[in-house]
Amino acid sequence: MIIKRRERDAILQSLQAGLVPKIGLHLIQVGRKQEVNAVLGDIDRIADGGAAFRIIEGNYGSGKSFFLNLVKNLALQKNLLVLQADITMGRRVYSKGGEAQALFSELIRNLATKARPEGEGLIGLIESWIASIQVQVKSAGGSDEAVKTKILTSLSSLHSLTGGFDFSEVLGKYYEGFATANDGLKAAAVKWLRAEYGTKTEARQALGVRCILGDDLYENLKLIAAFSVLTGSAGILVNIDELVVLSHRLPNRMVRQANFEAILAIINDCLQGGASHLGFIFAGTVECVEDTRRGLFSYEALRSRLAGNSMAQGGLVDLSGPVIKLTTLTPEELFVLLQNIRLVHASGDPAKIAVPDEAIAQVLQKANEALGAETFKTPRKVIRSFIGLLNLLDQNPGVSWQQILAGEFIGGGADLPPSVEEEIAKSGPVNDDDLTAVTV
Amino acid sequence: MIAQETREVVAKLSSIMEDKQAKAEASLATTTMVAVSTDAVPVLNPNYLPLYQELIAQTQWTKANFIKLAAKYNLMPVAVTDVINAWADDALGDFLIEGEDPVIIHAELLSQAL
Repeated sequence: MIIKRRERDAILQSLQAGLVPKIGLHLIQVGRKQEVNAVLGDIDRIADGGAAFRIIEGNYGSGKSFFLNLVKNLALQKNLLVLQADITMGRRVYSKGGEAQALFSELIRNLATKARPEGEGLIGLIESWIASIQVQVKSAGGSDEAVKTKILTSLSSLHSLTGGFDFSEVLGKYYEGFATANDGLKAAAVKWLRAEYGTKTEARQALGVRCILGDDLYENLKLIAAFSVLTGSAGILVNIDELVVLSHRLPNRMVRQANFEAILAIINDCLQGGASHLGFIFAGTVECVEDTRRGLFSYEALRSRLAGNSMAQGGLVDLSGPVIKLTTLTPEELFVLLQNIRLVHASGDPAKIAVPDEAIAQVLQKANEALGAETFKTPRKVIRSFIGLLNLLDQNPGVSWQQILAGEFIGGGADLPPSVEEEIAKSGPVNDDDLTAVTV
Repeated sequence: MIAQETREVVAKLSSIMEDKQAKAEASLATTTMVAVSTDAVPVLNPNYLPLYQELIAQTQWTKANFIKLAAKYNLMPVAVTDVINAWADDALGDFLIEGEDPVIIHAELLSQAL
């Protein structure tokens, strides 16, 4: 097995910090064959010019964020761009107060390309595309002005899309800034592309454009998808995590419904062929999806789109619908996960693995004694401890795994801050502020 | 059973992540990586080749000199990093360029690839 240096380091460092690695996840993936095949089909559909929509549903600790990042890596490998962000109280799918623009802005900031898998790929994408035009024009004796003109004409196909005309103007300005060494103009163009102008007036003063990006999240993502194809990419995949914030943190029912309506509009457009080279994956807890009072299922039209096959019971799986349900890792799956981590730690060389299967079994046994059911519900503590064991063996050649496991092995180190999903699972949803209490 | 399924999934995913043919097709589809050699290993976009030859002559560049180098070949500095790294990831197995100031060139990848 080939394991790249940066993939190995990212996996081990991230997992030990209690975080989901951003790269190399295919090396430690456990099972989920049908789910993986389903999203690979989605990626192919996007690359072929179609659209896709998925919701990844699962309890906290079931590996939703891990799965999102795995899909992201696969999509990048298949020549897609990936835009990824978490929903927060300040970043929503729909709003009138700038929160939708903030989500768009975050998605653009995290735009990942093959050369920038961890995000911040926008500038490279734009510069690579502009450079191809620049070389073409200049090798034919053209001037900087001719390059700018060629940029504008090459983007004319975007003019019919929302914000498309201004988008091409801003790319022209970016090149103008580059050609004239005007860093201020380049910075203004980047600020516009990252949807960081709060008002149209501000954007007009800086760049002479009439609109700002992020005003209409979905339409603007369609614009980015269309541009991505011009750059030679196969399209874009939009990954949005922590959907639970919309359902269980937003205290206003009307605001929740407006966001659900925006999600419904995206589903309808994607499924009815209104979008091209564009895919969405949202991730959220079971309650966030299926709670008929606050979740996506509280919106009847969404429920009918998302409801699964009622005959898919007793272990039967039907992934033709938009929802993929992830179950929490079983003890056997966690065992295999630790085996995979062990192999990554050994840089993929089975001859160099630091501990036998017996040690993994003992790790799980000790974890079960110390943490009980939490061991499998949120396995990150076990994973952290296991990597700690591997590191200790690495750095202390005279010490055996039995000696380390004989001590207090699980639960050492600082506690990780709880995730939003964990907090909500423990404390419940925020009360609605539009309920009226009546006492008789 | 789960171990068997995991082996199958990891093998499939690894084949996608490592598949040279897929990479070659992907690079064919891009405007920034157009040339593909006969054995399906991606070849660097010819627009970047003269710069590349000069770039790998040193293992480290200051930001100012890296920008000057890009300008010398009528190219944009971020594009240089991204186009060469995207190619290197496929052809050499990892990114060749790292950092912004200084810009580090992982020359060891070139000797490994020989």
